[in-house]
Amino acid sequence: MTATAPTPLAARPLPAEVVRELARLRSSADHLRARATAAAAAGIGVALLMAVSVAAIPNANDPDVYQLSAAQPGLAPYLSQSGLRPGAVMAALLLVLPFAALAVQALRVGSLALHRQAGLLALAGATPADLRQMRVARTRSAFLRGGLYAAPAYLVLWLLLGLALPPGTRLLPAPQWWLPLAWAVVLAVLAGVGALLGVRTPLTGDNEEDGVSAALVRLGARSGRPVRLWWAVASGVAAALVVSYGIRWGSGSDYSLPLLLLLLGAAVLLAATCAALLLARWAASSPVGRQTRRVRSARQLRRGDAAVAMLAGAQRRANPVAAGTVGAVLFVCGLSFGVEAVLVTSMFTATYGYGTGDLLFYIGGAAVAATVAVVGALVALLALALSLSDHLLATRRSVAAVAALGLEPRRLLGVQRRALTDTAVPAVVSGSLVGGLLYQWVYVLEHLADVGIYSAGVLAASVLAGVLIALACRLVVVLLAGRVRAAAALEHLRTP
Amino acid sequence: MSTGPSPDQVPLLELDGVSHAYARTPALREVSLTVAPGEVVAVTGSSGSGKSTLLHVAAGLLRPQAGRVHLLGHDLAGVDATARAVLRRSEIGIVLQYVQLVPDLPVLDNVALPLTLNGSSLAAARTAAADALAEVGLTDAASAAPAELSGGQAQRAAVARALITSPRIVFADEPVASLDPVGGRQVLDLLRGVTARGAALVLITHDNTVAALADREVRLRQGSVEHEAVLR
Repeated sequence: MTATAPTPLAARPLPAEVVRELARLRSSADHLRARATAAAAAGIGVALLMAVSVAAIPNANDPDVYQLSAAQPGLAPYLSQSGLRPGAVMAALLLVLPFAALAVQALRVGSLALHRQAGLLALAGATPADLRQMRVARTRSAFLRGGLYAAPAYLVLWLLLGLALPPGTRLLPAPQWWLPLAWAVVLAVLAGVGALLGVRTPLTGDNEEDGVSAALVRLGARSGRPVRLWWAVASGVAAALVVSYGIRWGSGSDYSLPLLLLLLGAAVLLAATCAALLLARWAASSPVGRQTRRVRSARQLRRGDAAVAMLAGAQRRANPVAAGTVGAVLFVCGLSFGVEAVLVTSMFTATYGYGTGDLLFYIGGAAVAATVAVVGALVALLALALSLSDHLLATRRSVAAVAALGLEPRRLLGVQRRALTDTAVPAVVSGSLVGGLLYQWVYVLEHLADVGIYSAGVLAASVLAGVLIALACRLVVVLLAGRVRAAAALEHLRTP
Repeated sequence: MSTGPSPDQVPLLELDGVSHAYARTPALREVSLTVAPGEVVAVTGSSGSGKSTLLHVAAGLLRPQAGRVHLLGHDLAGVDATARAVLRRSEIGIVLQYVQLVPDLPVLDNVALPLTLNGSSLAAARTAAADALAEVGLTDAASAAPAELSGGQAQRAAVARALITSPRIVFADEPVASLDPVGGRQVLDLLRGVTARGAALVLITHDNTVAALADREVRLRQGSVEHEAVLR
């Protein structure tokens, strides 16, 4: 018996035209994923351009941190005063978080179909590298498309929040000559982030040990990577913080103080996000978390519509990443509400008194900060709605089966409402309580104020935030009603 | 009784003492099997006997927990995921009962897929795919989406894709189980045609009439080879 030499099994990178063809958007889920990702990337791009534009407002030569910028007259004091500017930059950077959560969620739209497609491509002979190449092509192009909208969107925002407002209240500086340059950098950053997310989002066919066979069966496998991504970003910010502190310490000047405060704030926010994410994961998987959930589920089952509670719980458990990521962002928004509640309480109760001008200044600042937090919460809620909508699409057969069993559309909508509120309301309320109560202690100790009044203020703000987010959840469900009814169509019982 | 390829033939596939379990449920127990060029081997057995697991292990879709798999001269234990994918798209044809055509690609591109993944230009791959579709009588369905095909048409498209690279061995898992007798016969004829050029066919089936078309039958029971017989 003579043995013939086996054929060498070397893989070549796919030609660009093949990658383009296979990565082309075809299904409605593909288009929705690309559009939602591009919108999120545009949001990130606008937030970054806002942060850069505000940070670049030139100072006068006076070292006083309260100096006004002479180069951009007409700006609101939060931007024109050099000492307050880091806060405005921070607010703009804060907006990156919900848009990042939206991007992470947007990339998961149609994930079941994506897993299935990747399994089938692997069966036909696509290597893990080929699959990665296709994913990178898709995510990078969506991020780039979003990035292209960033500068035009910034100009529109400047018209609305800058030019259209009376002098002295303008919230965005006029575009400068270097804006195209900053836009190009933002585009490059977004392309890099898109490629990174494409590489890091695992799909069927990647895991050698599982093999294609298992991948074809386990089509709905979920990923825990976003948590690690958040940690990576937080580590990057922390490293920048250490470096900037080192520079400041080395130079012996206060020049980098605003940057230091900025990075410190970003590091705290990201650490809070990571902690909330990990807490959500722990609550979902640890014995204590499971027991708590069982007790809570039993209580809910006794208290209300058992079927709705059970289905809503199952829906949330089916996508812990979306619930965790969005919950974390909403928690951070809640932190902001809590801190603002203390500041507003102080404006109305401080014994040393505010002048009318001061009061307007502080109320205006709190209103701007609250608006940023509300925008962040709404974007996070949008991410959750996107996840829910996608889940409905992926599980339309079982939704139709539940409808066939006799669960009427009204209660199906109740399931969605419950799934949304059970994630969003506790996150916002707990964030508001934690942020408010922690900050009130600092404030009370500093100003020797009455702790009771501040606690009442924080409590009232937390209740208000909870009610508002619950109403927003109801609104989202009204908007999703068509999709819920479509998912419950009995014809899905015949589709695979 | 020990049956298999004659001593002068180099086996295309050789399984030696292969075992595999899902969690604690054994699916294959110490299975050995050889397949020679030009041979049609039917692997039969009732549901849950391990037939599909055997195919997935033999085709390199699943790593067995014990034993050795030699496929086309490669010891699969030492072949990584990328090399196995290259092997699948260049020298192996696989036909499954369900889930095989990519739903978002038109039928023509589905059939062209192994060639495009192998580095062919789109135009060249599509020309070859059109020829392959003509051979299975699906020229009119080239631009259709897989969802628009009947079960028999989808299966013939899958066969066209499996054969487009002129593979040296074809694995087919219950390829006619969901087809009517006429459609089933067409698909089996197409598959059996590969032996004319010296390729082998491994047919997984629970249907005795399908198994009767093979040169050799290997019957599995509870993950072990229960019986092996030369049929022609």
